[in-house]
Amino acid sequence: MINGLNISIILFLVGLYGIITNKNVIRIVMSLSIIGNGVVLFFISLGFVEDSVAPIIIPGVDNIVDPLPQALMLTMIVINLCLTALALTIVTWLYHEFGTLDIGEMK
Amino acid sequence: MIDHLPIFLLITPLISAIFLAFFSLFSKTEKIQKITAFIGLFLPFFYLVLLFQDLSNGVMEYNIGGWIKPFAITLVVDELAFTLAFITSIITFLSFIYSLKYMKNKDGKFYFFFLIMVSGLYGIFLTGDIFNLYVFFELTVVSSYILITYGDKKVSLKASFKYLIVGSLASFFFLLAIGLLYIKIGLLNIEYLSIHIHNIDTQTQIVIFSLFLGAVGIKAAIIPFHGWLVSAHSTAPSPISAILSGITVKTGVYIFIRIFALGFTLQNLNEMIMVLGAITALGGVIGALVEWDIKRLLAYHTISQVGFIIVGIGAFSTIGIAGGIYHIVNHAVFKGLLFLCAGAIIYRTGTKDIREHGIGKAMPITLITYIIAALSISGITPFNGAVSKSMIESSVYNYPLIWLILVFASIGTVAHFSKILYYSFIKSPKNFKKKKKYQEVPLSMQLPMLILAFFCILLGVLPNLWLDNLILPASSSIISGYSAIQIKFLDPLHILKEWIIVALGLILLKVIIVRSKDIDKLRKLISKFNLNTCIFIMVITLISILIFLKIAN
Amino acid sequence: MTSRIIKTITRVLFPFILMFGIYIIIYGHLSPGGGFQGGVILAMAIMLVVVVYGHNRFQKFVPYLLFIEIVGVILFILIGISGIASGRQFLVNLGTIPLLNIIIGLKVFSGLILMYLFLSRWELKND
Repeated sequence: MINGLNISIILFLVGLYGIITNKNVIRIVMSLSIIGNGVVLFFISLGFVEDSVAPIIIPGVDNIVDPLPQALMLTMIVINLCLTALALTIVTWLYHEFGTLDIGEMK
Repeated sequence: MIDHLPIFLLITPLISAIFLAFFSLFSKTEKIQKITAFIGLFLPFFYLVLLFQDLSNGVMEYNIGGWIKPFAITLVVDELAFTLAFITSIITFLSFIYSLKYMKNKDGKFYFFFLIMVSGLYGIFLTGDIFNLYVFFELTVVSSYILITYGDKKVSLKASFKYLIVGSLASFFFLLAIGLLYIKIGLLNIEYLSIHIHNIDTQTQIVIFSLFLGAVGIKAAIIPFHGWLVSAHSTAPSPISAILSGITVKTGVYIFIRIFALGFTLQNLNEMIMVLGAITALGGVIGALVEWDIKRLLAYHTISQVGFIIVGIGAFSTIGIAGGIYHIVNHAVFKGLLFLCAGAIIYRTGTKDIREHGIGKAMPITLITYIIAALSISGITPFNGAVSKSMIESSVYNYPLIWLILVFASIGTVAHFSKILYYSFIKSPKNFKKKKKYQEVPLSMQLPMLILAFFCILLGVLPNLWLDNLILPASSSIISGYSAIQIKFLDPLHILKEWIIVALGLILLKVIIVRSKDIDKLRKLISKFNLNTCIFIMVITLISILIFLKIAN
Repeated sequence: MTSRIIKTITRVLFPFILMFGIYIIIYGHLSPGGGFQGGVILAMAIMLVVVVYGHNRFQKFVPYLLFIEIVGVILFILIGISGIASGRQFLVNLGTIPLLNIIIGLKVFSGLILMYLFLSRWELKND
């Protein structure tokens, strides 16, 4: 019941709820980061095979988990880092222009 | 060297961007930066001309890294990718020339992000691997978040933040769908996926298709997912708006074509997509009723025209898909021209509200090119909008309700563009004392507008030339085996229909001018949409699409 | 941020974190790790010092870090084009993967420090 796929879907829904109902801008960016981590967990737990070890080449070891989703997730973590950095830069700029961090007040 | 042309097409704007950054470390003058950007945007045009001669031998493929075909990242150049890459090279190059005079006092960083966005656009159109598509998508979209903030400070920052959150959500939906596809099939090559997709059971296919539709709908701005587009495209600087409305919105439609061609075996797919397209076409026109800001009007009409394209593709017949692809090319040309004209007007008068323009005959080149573009988007005969709009409308004759909605959208389009023509060019402004002497914009801004107007006329007068060589083979990526279609140039039935639409549109314009106070009350209703409401509506629509597909299968 | 305990511990820990980061970069093509991961650890080492000792003294390194980044990208693309020049496709494996790891490690290291230094300039303007 508690495996990687279910936890990643719960993380995705928690992050989505966070984006919809938050007023503070920094909390919206944090919820976006939680959704990103949920998708990373989803991909990595897709490649799971029963009774196998980590995908490192050691002579004599045959049953490894699927290494392709892990390689894709390296790329995705870098892209999420860039998105979060850009979002925080825009948040800082918004604070200096408007003087408030509340998204309803910035009119 | 001809073999390596696809990868050179991707790399040339990137190398040019890096050299621009390198030179900006040492010298502060702008001349060498502009020359580097010019070379980086001009060379892909030559590569594409050389590729066209190779294209008649068949589809060209290129594996990166020396691996073999199902395991490698391949770059695929077929007719659809070639058409879109060609139109990208023309519009980005002309936007760059326009922006040399339009963007005053900007340092080299603007051109750096511009070149990276162009490189990302080429990457999207040329790739054949579905995760590579996600990576190039992120490259394009992140640089467009940065470029939007070069407009007027306060509104463009808010618009860029809203676009950031919504666009990232689209990417996450896309990634979930890629993950589900990978675990069921096993490889990530698009051609391999389309051969093996009928092995998946129907329940998983429903979930995958809904997630793809959510991602594509946000990127291409179909109506429940459209909340970010109007503020983002209207607060960006004008050359960037031309590229965003012309090309970046179309990348969503391009991904939709590729995914539709994967061959999902579900029922009732065509009708659902056509209904969504028709709602989009009408909703864009209704949303534009209350606006008096020229760039917001143009952004609402982008939503409406994308609705036309989605209806054409959803009809799933040869003439529908060919009409849809031809409308992508035409819309990029005339919408780019419209945004450049709007930029010229804003550059000289300094205000975006069309009730304060009143230019008259003081800017003749802008007036003539605006009239050509407005006639194209309304679908009048010698110009290019007429061919593609009549192809799309003739593909939905079996569904009379959708045909009627498309006709209403055309009427609304005519009304709004006549409104802009009347207020901006013919009527004098309200405070008569402030009427300055307006003169024409500089030559480097006139030249792109004239070239795009020339393309409008060229694409409309010789449709058979483009259809036989480029568009009809491009539509064979979805349906196999096309029949040759001849377009009659001066068909009396179509001309009669167009002039009826123009007459009804002018009547609607008179209604809008007379009743403008009632329409202002509608504005307070529409302008309540902030970020949270948009995302909530998107999620509800996605869940309802999922439920509808489960019931229908 | 300026108590004596923290300053002393930072001075002691700094070379070990640097060494660990360089180990992960160089050994990256045979064991978990590689360019991006090692670059982040290297950046964390320097950023510990920047946070503890104040960012004003480190603003003078910004042009050098920009130079490292740009030269890194040019070298990466040159290695890719040398794949074309040797008769095969772009970015083939000519035995250059450890070199690519080192280039990416340097780029990530300088990129993350530049992000922090540029963001902390907002506070400089308000002083």
